[in-house]
Amino acid sequence: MPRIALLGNPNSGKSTLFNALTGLSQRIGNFPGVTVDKKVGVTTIPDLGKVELIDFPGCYSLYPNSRDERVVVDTLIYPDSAVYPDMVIYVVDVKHLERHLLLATQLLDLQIPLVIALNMSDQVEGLSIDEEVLAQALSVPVVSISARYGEGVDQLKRLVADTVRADHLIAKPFYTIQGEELQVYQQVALQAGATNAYAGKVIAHHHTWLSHLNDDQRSRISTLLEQVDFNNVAGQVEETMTRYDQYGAILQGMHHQLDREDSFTTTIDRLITHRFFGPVLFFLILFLMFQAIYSWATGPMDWIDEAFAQLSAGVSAVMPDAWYTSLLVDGLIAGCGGVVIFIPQIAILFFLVSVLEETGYMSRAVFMFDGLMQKVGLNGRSIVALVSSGACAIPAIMSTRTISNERERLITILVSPLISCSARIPVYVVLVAFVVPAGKVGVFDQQGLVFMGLYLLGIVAALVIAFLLKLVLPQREPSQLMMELPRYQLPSMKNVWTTVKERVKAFIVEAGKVIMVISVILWVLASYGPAGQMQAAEAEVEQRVEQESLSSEQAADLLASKKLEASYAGIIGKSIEPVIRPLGFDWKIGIALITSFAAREVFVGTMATIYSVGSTDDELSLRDRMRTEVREDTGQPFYDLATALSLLIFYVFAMQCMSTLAVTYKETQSWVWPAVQLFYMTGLAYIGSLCVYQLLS
Amino acid sequence: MLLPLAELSKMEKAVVKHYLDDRIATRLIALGLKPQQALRVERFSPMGDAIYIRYGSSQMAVRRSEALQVMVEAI
Repeated sequence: MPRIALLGNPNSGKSTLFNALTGLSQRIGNFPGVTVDKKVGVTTIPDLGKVELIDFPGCYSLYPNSRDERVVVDTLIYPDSAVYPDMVIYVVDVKHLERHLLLATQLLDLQIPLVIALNMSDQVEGLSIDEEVLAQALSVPVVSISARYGEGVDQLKRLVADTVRADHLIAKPFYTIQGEELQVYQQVALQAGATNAYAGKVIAHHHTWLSHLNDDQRSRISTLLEQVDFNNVAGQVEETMTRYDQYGAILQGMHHQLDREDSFTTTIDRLITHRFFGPVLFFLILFLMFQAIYSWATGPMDWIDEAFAQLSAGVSAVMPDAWYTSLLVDGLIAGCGGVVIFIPQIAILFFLVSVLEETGYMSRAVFMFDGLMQKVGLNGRSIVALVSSGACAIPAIMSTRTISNERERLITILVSPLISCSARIPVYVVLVAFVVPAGKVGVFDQQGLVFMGLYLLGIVAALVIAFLLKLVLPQREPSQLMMELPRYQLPSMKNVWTTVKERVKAFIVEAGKVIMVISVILWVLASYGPAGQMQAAEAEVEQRVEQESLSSEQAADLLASKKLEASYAGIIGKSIEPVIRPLGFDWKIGIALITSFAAREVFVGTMATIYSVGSTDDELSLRDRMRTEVREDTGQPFYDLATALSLLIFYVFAMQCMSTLAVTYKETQSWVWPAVQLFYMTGLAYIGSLCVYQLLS
Repeated sequence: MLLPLAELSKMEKAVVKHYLDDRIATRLIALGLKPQQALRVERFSPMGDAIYIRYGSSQMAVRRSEALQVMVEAI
């Protein structure tokens, strides 16, 4: 299958064209060796059949400034590279023709077959003359298209077919390398196994990091360059300026008004980036987004809960009462439910973020918050992740892909879980009542204030830890802003939909695997115990049911409670009691801490089981039951201010979400970082709890 | 009279003359903010650390620290 690369500047509409051509066939992977998205799809070209289409990261020139752009150079300079294309479709935003042609002329000089697509042609008139002038001047097929509306795509496909089938190169070189330099570059090209002098020049500029060179080649090239006083950057600047001058002349000959400012964008930006109203508007938008995620997701999530509960009940009813039924129902089906339950939040978050991104708004947000975020080692885009974490850290962590600086992205991922997510709310609800009675302080609800305090604590912790990480983690690439602010445009819902689908799919497949495995492990721990102990527990319960004439519901609750105690999870919980006693906890809480490692909201369910109120499904009855619990030694209520606050603080900081760890693993492609998250958050939780409990008791 | 881009005031216009830092130069030129390019400072970010610049048919955001490396002539 012929392979075609889609190249162009960021914001050229390249992805819209890619989506239009490949539709459902696209998959996302990584470029070899780097965490850069590689989108691959298949499209059919008349007279040619199926072709593989690869969407490369947006790139301004062959002198790259980021990891993304490096991938383009690395691939195109080396004909034997894994994804070296047979030809390139170069997508241009015709409104910014002058700037966008830079990379095109560089590609011509690498002698890669090229077709230029002047995109967004629906936004300018008088274009047919332009196409011919440009095509003539560059000796390259040029076509006007509008990827969003599907115009010109057939013509584009025809030109692609022609180009692939042509057995000689039509293009002529653009930039001429003079005299002495020419010789040097030819020699470099020879050393590196490249085809022409311009390739040699590009290699000369980047020989220190290009992946296909070995050390021997690198040092030989270095020597060559030293001999002629090669100036890396001055050379790049001079070449770029020459190119601009050269095609500037061509563009003069085109009947198309350049430098046309978009007054719509200018006017809107007066409000959007206003020094005061800009941030206000931003937080309003984020608040609405957060509310939307919360309210729109609740319905589907309840429905999913219900559906899985019915599935479990159905399967249990039909299958025999054996261990494999329990594995299927409580392990696998529950685990699966634990993955699916996140889909509504992920889908909604990515829908909203994608719409904002498509309109061009996100870059304005980055502009406004870059300074503040940089102080704590974060990026302007990190603020979206942090706010989204208020709903759920999982889609928030997934959204950090758009942060190109490695360290900023990593820090964002590491601290996002500190923001209080919606899963902590049931825990807060149960415990807040033990900290502060219902009532008012002035006009404010006391318990509401405590709630807010907990949220604030998470936010402050996130910023502080981010700052500390900034001091500790090395910065491998220079951080920069220098960012294009694209014109505002209506979001392409097709692009939005594609993004949502990709993210949901990626989550289910990748994180899903990890979540399922951990679910099953926890199920084993909670359902099985050392030989004899389970039976002993059952026997004990049977006795008590008789002696105390318990109802069948009470009996079931008691049985569940005793079996949990006797299980491995129970044993682990009891064994960590000495460690958690300084925090004011006992083994019952210990067991709940173990099981809620799966997910925070499991804490409430486990506590309910341990306290034998498992069959009732609400937090209030659990709370009532907890009020009656007393400490063995003092006879005082167990859940006093100190213990409750200590437990609350523990939950603010602790990493109790295997799904978060799974997603962190997936996004960082390493187990190191999830381990770091688990370790530092557990440490923070322990210390926080310890301080609070010791101070208050 | 040459001055750094970072020292222009809001709504001031200028023309790019040269750059003091190579890495910044390559990036800005690739983005189209090249020598002889006319520009206008639109506004500053809330904390004053970033600058919104309009030039040609485009607009961009740069940090103050980055703009200090670009020498311009006010017009």
